Amino acid sequence: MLLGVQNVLWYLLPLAVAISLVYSASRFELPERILHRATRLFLQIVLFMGTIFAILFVLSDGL
Amino acid sequence: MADPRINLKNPNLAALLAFLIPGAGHWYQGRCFKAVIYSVCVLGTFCWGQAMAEWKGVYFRWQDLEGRDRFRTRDRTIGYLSQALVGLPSLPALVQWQRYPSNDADGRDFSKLDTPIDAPFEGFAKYEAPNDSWEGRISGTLQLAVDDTGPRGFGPEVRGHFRGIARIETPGAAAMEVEKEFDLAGPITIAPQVLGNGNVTITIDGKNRAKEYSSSRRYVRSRIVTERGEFDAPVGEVEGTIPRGFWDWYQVPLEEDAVNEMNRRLGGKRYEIALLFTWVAGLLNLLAIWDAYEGPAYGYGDEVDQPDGQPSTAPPATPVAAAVTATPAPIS
Repeated sequence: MLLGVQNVLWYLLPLAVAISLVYSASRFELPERILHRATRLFLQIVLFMGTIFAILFVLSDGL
Repeated sequence: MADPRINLKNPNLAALLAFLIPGAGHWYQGRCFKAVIYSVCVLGTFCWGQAMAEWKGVYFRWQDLEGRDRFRTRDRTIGYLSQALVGLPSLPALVQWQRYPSNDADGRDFSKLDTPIDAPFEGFAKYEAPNDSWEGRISGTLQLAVDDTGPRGFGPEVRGHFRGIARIETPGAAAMEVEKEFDLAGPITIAPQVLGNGNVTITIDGKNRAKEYSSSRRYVRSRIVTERGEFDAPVGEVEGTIPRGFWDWYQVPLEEDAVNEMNRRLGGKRYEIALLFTWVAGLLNLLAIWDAYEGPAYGYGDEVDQPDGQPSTAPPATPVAAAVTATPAPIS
């Protein structure tokens, strides 16, 4: 149910992909390094957002 | 200082190209992989945001409202400063701001016909001649033009003609479609040619007949007349919409009611997220522009990482094995 109700949040995943790729591309020139760095950055962003989401979700329980 | 292995060609030109079309600057420099990344990511994010906002998320408005609005002193689309960084896809908003009729207080006039109209029309009509009364939905071709001399010498007057199909509904009987043709005359009400309006409500005879949301339709209302001697006699009224050309609504500043309507209809935070996409796209292109001008910020990407935060170093120019076996120079 959470996945359905909060579906607008799924738009943030492709946005995170775009941000990771462009940011990494602006740091390095080698394609392999860009892709490797973008993957790592994407996972960091998702982990960070997921953690914040989980904290807020727990705190807002019962409100 | 860019890595010498990267040929930036003319950095100024590359930065300009990167601004105008995301990815174009890097393509010019021969950095095709990055050109594809920038182009797909920046334009993809921008277009996706625009599509989510029904292509009405990008517009420019910059005006003071002193004495014109009780609640606000200025009306400025700060977010456009970010959207503008996407370059050509967002620059039409600046032109549309200049064309926008209400950027001065008295610039909007719903009774003025700027250019002759000959367009498909959708709407309602109410016709009340002595021996022919009907009302219903009509669709057909509407022609309106300003007759400068006036047909009877009373000065400029808007006159026109409608030809099309009327769907007449009578209580207790099946609706029937009949061909209708009648003359029109002013006074008219017509939405300005360039406008990002919200909903259009058709209210003939005090009844709300239809409500339509679109800034791609233009509201028209006129009297139906017949000739009686020297004068026109009003016998009814026609109200509806005609299409508005793409460049007369795209990136035109949205009216406040249009923004409210958009938020209400799209629901949730969808419109805000759509705007967020367009803003982020612009900020991402700023990184791309700088990369085209100065090269990658951290280096080529094959530098050897040093432990404990030491600066990275370039890879050895000669193979390590060769360096180990080389004969040391004699110490003199």
